[in-house]
Amino acid sequence: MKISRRDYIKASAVLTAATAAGIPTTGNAANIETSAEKIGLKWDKAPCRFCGTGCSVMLATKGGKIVASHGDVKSPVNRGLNCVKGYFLSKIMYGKDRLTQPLLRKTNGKYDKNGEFEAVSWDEAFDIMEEKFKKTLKEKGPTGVGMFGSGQWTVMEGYAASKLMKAGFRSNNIDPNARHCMASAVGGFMRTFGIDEPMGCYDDFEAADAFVLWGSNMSEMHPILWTRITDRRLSNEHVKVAVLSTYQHRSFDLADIPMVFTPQTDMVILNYIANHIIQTGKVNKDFVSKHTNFRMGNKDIGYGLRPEHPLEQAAENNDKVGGSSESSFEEFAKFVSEYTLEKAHEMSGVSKEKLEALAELYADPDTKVMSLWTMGVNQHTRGVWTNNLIYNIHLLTGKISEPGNSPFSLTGQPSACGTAREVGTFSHRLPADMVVKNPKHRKIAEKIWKLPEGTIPAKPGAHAVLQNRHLKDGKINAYWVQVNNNMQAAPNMLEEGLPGYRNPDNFIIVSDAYPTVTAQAADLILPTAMWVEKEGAYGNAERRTQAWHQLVDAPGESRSDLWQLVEFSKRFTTDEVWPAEILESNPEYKGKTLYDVLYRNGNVDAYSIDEISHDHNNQESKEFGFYIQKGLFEEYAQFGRGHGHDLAPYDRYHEERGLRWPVVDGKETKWRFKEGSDPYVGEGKDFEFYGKPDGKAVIFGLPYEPPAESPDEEYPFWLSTGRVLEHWHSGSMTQRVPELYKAFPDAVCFMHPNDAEELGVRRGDEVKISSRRGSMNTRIETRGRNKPPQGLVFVPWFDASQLINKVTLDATDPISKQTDFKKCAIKIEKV
Amino acid sequence: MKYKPEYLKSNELHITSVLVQVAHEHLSTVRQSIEDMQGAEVHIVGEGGKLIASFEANDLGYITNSIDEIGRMNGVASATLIYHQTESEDQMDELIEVDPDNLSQLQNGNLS
Repeated sequence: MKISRRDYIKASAVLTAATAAGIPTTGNAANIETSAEKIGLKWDKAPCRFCGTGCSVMLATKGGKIVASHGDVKSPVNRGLNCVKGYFLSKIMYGKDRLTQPLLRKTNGKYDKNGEFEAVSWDEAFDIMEEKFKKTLKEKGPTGVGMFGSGQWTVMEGYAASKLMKAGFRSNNIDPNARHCMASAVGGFMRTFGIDEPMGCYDDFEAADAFVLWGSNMSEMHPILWTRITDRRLSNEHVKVAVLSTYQHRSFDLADIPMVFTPQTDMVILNYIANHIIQTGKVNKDFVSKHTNFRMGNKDIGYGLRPEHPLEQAAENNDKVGGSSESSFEEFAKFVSEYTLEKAHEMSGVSKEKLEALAELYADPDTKVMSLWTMGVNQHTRGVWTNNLIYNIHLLTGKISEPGNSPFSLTGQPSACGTAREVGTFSHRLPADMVVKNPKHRKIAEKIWKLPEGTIPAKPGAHAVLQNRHLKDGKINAYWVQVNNNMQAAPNMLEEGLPGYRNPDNFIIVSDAYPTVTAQAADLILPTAMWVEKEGAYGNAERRTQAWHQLVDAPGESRSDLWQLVEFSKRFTTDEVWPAEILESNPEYKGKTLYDVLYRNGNVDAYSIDEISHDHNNQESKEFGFYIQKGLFEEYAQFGRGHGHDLAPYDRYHEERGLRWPVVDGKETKWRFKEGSDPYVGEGKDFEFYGKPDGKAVIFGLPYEPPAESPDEEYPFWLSTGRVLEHWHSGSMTQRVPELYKAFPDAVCFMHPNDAEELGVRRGDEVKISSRRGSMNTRIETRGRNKPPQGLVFVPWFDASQLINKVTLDATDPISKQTDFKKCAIKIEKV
Repeated sequence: MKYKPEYLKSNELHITSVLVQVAHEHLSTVRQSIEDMQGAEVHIVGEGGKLIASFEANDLGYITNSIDEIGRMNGVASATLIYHQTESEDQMDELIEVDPDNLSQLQNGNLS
């Protein structure tokens, strides 16, 4: 029987939509996929490479290109849906200015920091990198080299990079851009629970009676999860949604309790809620006495600025920022008693009625409440504290680790959890929540890695903001950036970012698929294979690990970050980079390359290339001669198995739409710390927060402290920065998709109409935004999707032609070292 | 439905499906409005106000703008692109052999 190609494709499209919508049909999407060969398509699954939601998409390849896509109906995360960025996923690889060859700055045929970019071979690129790394290691030692990676690295890439830096070069100067995104969340988890990542999962969306957004615009940033909240709210009359933010945004459309608060006073509101719970007798005393401890945190901990800054000079405890002392329920109750309804109302500007209604969502024992947050809480000079304060109100009421009772830290990047946090690519961490400063942890890592004792250095390396300062100060001289655009993303670009990259003493390498702002500030650009041009795995916000196959080949000479890292390791021998004493006591390592000791160690090269999927290419494995992604994953998995971070055997991830760790006896875990749903909880314990030695979570007494910079006469506006739905981070991929570019082409300054009137500017007028650090020009938007209150403006940071990070302040949370991109003081002038 | 709007010159053809959720009382108006859009066809009007349309156009931007337009129609709770395929226009009328079983499945998906 014959049918036109057009009708066939259309029927497939309709049937896929019907399946996603749950409309009964006799066919289903699986039939479409199996009969796809009729039109020459080959379908595979892959997780989306944008946000931390972890949607699964189905991708069809034909003639070496991705030609069709749809949301994966088999995925429990997105159930067949995609957001607008997801529609255009297949286009991100085909931007016109895709890099296909290494590019080195040269004059007269030789490397010159002030030269122009010229195409070079991979050999020449590695030659100059080798020369610069070796020179730096010789002159400065391991702390002179550094690497900046990403929560967009695959699990295997982050793991291979961490090994290369921490064990190979013996430098802890490796940090991911997740430092700008999730570090405060990690700090919050570690302080309260002693183990990272949410206890609950996305199944909470269908079980909660109330949702509270603490500084998250899910409608634009996590749209697929937002559809699940919308469905729950619209189909259940009793369900309430509370949205808190410093400006009104699209998520307010669904809010029953909309609240715009004065920046930084979220801490006051959270302490008021704790006080309200205590004053109204709603403390779950049984839970609190069995499963929690109380501690008072150190106060006045500074702002993570350079030590000579007056704010650091004045701070009492900026040398013991994470410290705390033993406390009690009574002391805590007294501590929060000053956070009255009146005080919370006065400081936050939110009406008493709304504050009380919000507090009651938590206090009422019959309301299951899910708290959700991202950058509003994490990009905060007291971000770790604010995470702690959210856990406080869930712990006081025992609303945790059960379906619908869920403090849920949303994630920004596709593998901030999987790669940055679980693999531990931070400057202070090792896999499975271990840290470099703990000698036992280093020993475990050295044993799994089959390396001599003492290989991993004990001192934490430079974190994101400190790396830029060290580059500027000439302390780091050889520096490699992969999968991110940190020149555009990092704060205070003119004073800290650019001077470091252009410092004549420094050699900067940037691996990217496109000529980003960061790539253009580099000395050597390496063309990089992206997303489904390589095999990989990501870990999403609900602990779900997902893997994918290489579906297409990368263009030109582009190679994956993994290939680049591992290939570069062949250029060094242990004698060149390790101290003589280590080699003398371990002579069997003498004369070996870093490639031999890190990746040909019997673990990483344990799996033959015969195990690679016969239907897919695998560029790196074929070149190295072993199934490198599987070897890296399996070696890495040794860290967590039996220790609460268990991953399934690697091959299973190619079959499943992801699994939520810990995966014990082949089963994933939905709710951690609760008996019956988490196999790690001891019998009869009911709840067990086993990240802490006594199994108890910590309720912290922590005060409100002011932001690093607030508006004054000279700089009268608050500046908040962030994303928009259509663009992913700095726009290096989405700005190259014509449809997304057209949907939101240029950054704008969202402003209250009264402020615009006072400034004498109208919608569309050009203005200059300045802080004490720098300025940029943009245009006024008074009728857009974001509606700030008077005195605050919002400017997105995706636009490479309007760099708002020239203006922002590099103040960080002193504990997490994460920048506060949501608060600084600016002035605005008509141009 | 095999015309090619004059203003679209590209040889690239995009075929998509869209899931629309509509309040019951607006269903017939919304259905008609979508069918009046260039390149659009409504295939399924399911229970609970779920409507499935397909779009074909040479410019994907036209399709996404149309989806936004549907999203703004009275009574529409959401309009979501589900499936997207890019093809060369030349091959579209080529006949392909399909298994009658498969075809019946596709047609029971209410292929109009």
